[in-house]
Amino acid sequence: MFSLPRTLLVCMLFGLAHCAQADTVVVTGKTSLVMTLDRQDVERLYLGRTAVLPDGTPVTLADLPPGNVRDGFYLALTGKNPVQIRTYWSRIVFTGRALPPKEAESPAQLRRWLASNPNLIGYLSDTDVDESVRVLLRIR
Amino acid sequence: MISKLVGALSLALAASIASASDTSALSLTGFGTVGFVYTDDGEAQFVRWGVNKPSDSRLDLSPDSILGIQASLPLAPKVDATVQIVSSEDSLGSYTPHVTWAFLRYALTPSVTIRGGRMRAPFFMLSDSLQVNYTNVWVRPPVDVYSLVPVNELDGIDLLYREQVSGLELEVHPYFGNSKLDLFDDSVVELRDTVGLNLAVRYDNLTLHFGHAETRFSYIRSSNSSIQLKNALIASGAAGQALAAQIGGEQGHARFDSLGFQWDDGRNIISGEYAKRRTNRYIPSVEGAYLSVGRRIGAVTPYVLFSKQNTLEQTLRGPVPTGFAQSIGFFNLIRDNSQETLTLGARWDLNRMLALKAEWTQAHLERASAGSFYPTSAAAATRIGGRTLNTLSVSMDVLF
Repeated sequence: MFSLPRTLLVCMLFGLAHCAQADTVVVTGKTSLVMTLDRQDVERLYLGRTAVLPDGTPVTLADLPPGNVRDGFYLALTGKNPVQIRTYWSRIVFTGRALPPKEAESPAQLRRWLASNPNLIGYLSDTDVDESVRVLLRIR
Repeated sequence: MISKLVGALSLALAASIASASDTSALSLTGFGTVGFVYTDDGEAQFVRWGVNKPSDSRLDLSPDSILGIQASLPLAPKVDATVQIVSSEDSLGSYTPHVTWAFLRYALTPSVTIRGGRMRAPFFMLSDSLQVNYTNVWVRPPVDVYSLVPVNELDGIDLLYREQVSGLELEVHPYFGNSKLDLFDDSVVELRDTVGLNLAVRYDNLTLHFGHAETRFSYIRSSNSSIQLKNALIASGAAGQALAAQIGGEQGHARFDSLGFQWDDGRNIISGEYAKRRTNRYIPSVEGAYLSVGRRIGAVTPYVLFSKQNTLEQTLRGPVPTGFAQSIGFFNLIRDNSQETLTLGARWDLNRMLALKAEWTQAHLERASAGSFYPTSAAAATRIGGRTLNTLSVSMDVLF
């Protein structure tokens, strides 16, 4: 049977903006103690399954405001579309499983937070990365 | 004792959250529903047993309307506190906000967290988020399963162990605590020393749930009709006394079992659950099940839900003394909720915060049952059994 790749299917359902997009990168501050993260770590964190890294370091998470970068990040990382991820996270938060990621107003605000909070992890569009952040992982 | 501790804890947590110096770390979220239910029968009113007080008009706002606010604050690395306050109509008809959550959480290891305080009583698959209607496709979780334990809160401790093993995600959730619930017919239920274990296994789009819990419980009925029946039974002899002891008291024991699945591939949302409540007295032994299929078409999700509740043992069990057939039959009837329902509905996601839902339910009541309805009079109670009743529910859910 002919089947579309999931990302393409979601592009069609939720608009073409998701399809033509720069890579998203997972970042932390330059002073952060977090040096590396693999994809599974990031997925566990952004699905609220843990708030502690495998080495025992507690971390907090940041989200970008609702929009293409955020939707594309979750879709590429978890395969969940915006409605699914919203429902999923509301269940996590309202069952007391985890605290929600802290939502930044803009990429610039997220970069400022990263500079002042050593254990904060966030994500940015490739084009919003500057020398103030450390890139941990590229999500395609 | 535990209630007092939880009371003190919730005050302390609320105070610490309110006085938090670093307000940027405070996370505030909320949920709400405004909804009405219309019942197409003048002698019965839709009711969620243990949740709302039945209205005397055919249009009722009380079964689903709710507002909840939740605040969380990290207190130390690996430690955070959460308080949730909810206002909805309770069984006594009051909207007074009350504390539904007040717990401290500690991340023992990356996979294990331990919580203590007041939490959601997690008896069945969706119990954890029962009041957050936004998280479900329906207007409300299926009543034929979720009326088996209307208790919301658990004052105690629990542990969450989450592990990922080659694509399988496992959650083990043991819990222990006490709960209390006031019901609209002047009765009070208390669950004591509840011990339970939930297991969830997730693989890709499929989640399986298993749950088991056991509890001691008391059921105190102080309505005039219950007291009169009890006194008459005691005066009637040995068989009557055996029945009288089942009307209410401190000797209850209950077991809850549930088995469920959820499938969500982004387009199709399918779920089903079977749950059973076994009791030794005071309330019926009951089983319930549902199966639901929905499909997301853009922002709209139409769904079909089939559900059924079946009474395994009546409230008052045993030989009926002469002259009591009618009164005992009536006592059992209004506590029998067995029925079969078919629901057709749709959810419309207006944006990231709002979902509008509408559903029509047709309920076929068993012959000596009130189903999920409250009779408008004692005479009506004897007539509504066996009827087919329709309800229309419309609601708007919000998350913020």
